Amino acid sequence: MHKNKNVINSSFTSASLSNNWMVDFMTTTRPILFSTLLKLVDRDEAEEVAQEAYLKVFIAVKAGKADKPAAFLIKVAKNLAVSRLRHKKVEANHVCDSFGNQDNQQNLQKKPEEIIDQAAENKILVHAINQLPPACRKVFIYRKLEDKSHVEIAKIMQISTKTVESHLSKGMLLCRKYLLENKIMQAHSEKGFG
Amino acid sequence: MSMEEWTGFSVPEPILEEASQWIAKLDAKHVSEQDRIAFTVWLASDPLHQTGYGELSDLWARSSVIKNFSHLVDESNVTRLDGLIQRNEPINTSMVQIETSIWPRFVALSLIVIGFLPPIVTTLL
Repeated sequence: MHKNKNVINSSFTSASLSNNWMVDFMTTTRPILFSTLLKLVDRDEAEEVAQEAYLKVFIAVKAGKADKPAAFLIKVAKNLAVSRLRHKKVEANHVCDSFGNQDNQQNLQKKPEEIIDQAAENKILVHAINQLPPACRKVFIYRKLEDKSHVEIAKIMQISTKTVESHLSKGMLLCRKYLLENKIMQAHSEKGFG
Repeated sequence: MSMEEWTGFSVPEPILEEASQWIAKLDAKHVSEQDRIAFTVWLASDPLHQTGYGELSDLWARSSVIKNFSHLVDESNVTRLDGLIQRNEPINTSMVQIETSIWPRFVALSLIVIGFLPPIVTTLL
């Protein structure tokens, strides 16, 4: 505990930003940070805000711009949470005004060709998922189409949750590769290279 | 096309692999505090980590669109690989299978019988 106190109270130079320091800093500040954040937003959102706030603090510390990282962290996180709340309020008013759901509202603000582009890209993404290896695709579809949890998928497929994770990560990488290749081919044919 | 694509810039493969592993790990319902901390350290320790994570998490979020394209999603192996899921399976599949497996045998058998008919008929006569 004594060591932890030091982490919060001492001042920092950019050289002191080691991985160990970051771990220590987060371990000591997370409880205080979350007791503040959970008064403003729910757990999931608090995690997201915390994530963003820590990143900002670390970048500032690295640049030598934060003398008191703990105080800076709380300030940044509070601001992020408040601006999220404000955004939510605006969004809620917006939805009340419109007839449709939020997606439609967003689409109304886009140009027609943007919507078409997006639809085409989404279709390519579906193709990318379709060409995944069978087990990998299966996990992907359970997760993304049927909203099953990792534990549920592991049970159905009789594999470990670790394997579920590795299928998902492999699937992401393969989809990315497929999309990239597709884009390169498209660019070539548009320019008459192909 | 984004700036990265034009310039041919790409996040190195090992970093993308790490990023995808983190996204998958954080996608679970329960994530330990240690993992969350380790992830933040990973993300903060290199701007390339942030780029790679940004790119893949964008793809990960977008891949939820398959809900709107479910008619295009190829679930064939989901229904075929194990017997646990029965949905989407045509009810008369087994009937079709029986028909296709019995008919050729039936035809073959009757051809054999017909083939043997002339000698049998002649001996009987």
